[in-house]
Amino acid sequence: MTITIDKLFELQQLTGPSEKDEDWLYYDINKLTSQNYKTNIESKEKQISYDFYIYFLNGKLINHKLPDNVTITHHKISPRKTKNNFIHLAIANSESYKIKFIENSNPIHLIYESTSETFTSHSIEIECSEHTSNEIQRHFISQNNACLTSYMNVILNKNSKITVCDFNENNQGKILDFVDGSLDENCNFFSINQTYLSHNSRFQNRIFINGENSNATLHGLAINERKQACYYNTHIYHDTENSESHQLFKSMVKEDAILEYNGKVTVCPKAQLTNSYQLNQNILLDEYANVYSRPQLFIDADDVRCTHGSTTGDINEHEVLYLMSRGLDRLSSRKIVLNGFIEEIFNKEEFQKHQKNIHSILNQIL
Amino acid sequence: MLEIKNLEAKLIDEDLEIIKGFNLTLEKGKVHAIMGPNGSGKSTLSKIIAGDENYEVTNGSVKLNNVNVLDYDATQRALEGIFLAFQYPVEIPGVNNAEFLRMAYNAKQKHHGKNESDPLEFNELLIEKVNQLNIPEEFLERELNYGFSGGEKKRNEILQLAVLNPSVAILDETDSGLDIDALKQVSEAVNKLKSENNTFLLITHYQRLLDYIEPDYVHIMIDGKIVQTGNKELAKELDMKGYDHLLSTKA
Repeated sequence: MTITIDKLFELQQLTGPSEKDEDWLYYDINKLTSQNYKTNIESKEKQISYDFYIYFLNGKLINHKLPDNVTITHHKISPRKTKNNFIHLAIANSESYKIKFIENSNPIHLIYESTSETFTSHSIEIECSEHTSNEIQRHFISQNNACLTSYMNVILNKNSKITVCDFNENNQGKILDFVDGSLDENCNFFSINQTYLSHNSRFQNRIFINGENSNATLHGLAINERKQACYYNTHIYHDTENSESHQLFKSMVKEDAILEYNGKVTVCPKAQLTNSYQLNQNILLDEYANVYSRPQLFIDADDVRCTHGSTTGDINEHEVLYLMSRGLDRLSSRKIVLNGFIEEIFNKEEFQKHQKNIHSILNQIL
Repeated sequence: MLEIKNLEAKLIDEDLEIIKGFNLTLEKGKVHAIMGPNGSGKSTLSKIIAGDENYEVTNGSVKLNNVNVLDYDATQRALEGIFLAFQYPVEIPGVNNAEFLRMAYNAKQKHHGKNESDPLEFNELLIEKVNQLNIPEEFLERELNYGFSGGEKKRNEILQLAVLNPSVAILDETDSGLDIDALKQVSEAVNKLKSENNTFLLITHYQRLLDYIEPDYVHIMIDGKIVQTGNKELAKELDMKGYDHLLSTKA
């Protein structure tokens, strides 16, 4: 049996996003929602090699292994107010779970896998207890013509920290991911997304900084070619005094690939002394690639430091010539320049160990 | 060693002829200096020799040890022994200076059929070079020219020159932007690197560089070609008289 996402919205008495919605402006929403997806889906166990993990296949939790200080329970998730009904659809169409970090834990791997032509949903709430520091690594596997949706609500209690690392590589299906984060006092939210050669991916983050002295750092790197598309949609809300946010998203795109960065920072009237940094940089590897970059600031407080910027251009041929003039061949020189371009993404200690070796990816696209 | 004959070249984007019948032979073990007014084509000449593809050579030849290198790209020219210390070295963020130098060094070693150097072995060589040239070791850990001051960039170019040990070194206005102490340090470094097996071409506007690096020949370039050749006295004469008399003679 098959069903369209339009029909799923209808069954839940919801309406899907439209092209008129600014956040979906460059996304081919009709193509996504009108396609037929399988509903009767087979699920079977799989051997996972990570120490601690939760494995979902076609939306069902298949197996998991967690340390003693991390609990997983069924949980009804109530998302914050949103215009994006995909979040409600993801919750309505999946078993919702809550993962609670009671103490500091080893990294937990969340593996989301969808087989061909399926529509699957996942909804998870993550809560970090006070004074804990934890890490989640999410692995997205979306096979041919599949549509994998995921909602994750992260709650950081006082003095806690989480690092979320997303790996999205060589996927043939679509991915729609939504992350909400709420930060209490003295919290740190670190997130990095690596998207390489994947068909169609949309990552949406909403981070609410509610407690003083908290920080949200969102980084992303997309390398795509042909008609592959990656959409980064971020919104950081500074709702209190003395908080920081850092956003750095970079991409390299080629041959009709699409990169969209739609990043917003809202500073509410009481959020004095906010420090916010937002940068999107893109390299077009040929004349056919597309980049839509919209860094946006909405500031209602008067004593803040907010910067935002965006650059899009070709690979710097002066840099390539400089390296060639030292005896390095053209291809190596281009690789060195591109590796240098992305280095900044992984500068932070939290992200360094998660940098994938992109040597073979560069070999493929250059 | 390097023989430039009847060289004519233009900037491709603007279809502008800049080098107009340039002739010069750089001899082994000698230091040549080219001086000339702004816009005479000095920097363009250096970039053309190094293989900058923004310029098109319309006539002539540039032969390194009797091989016309105009058929080579910038990489091949560098591997064969041509080195250009840029007037404005580009900053390449995210690229470690020491690692870049090792890659460049090994590319040259490989080209000459020699063993490539591992990081430890190469580090020893680098330490030896920075000490020899009085360059701070912290240069090695920084990103390639990124955040370097003008003077630091020029000194980093000299470090590269020392590591890559080219047979033809072209220094394009290496003295520009240097304070007196930095000029002295860069000049001392160049003097240490001069040998009977290499040749230096200094491009400069000022005689003061030539007080520290003594040239064997001084050439004056105007409107894309050499108009006069002499020894270091010619530079001193230029310092006093300027270029006006030569420009009026040409006119």
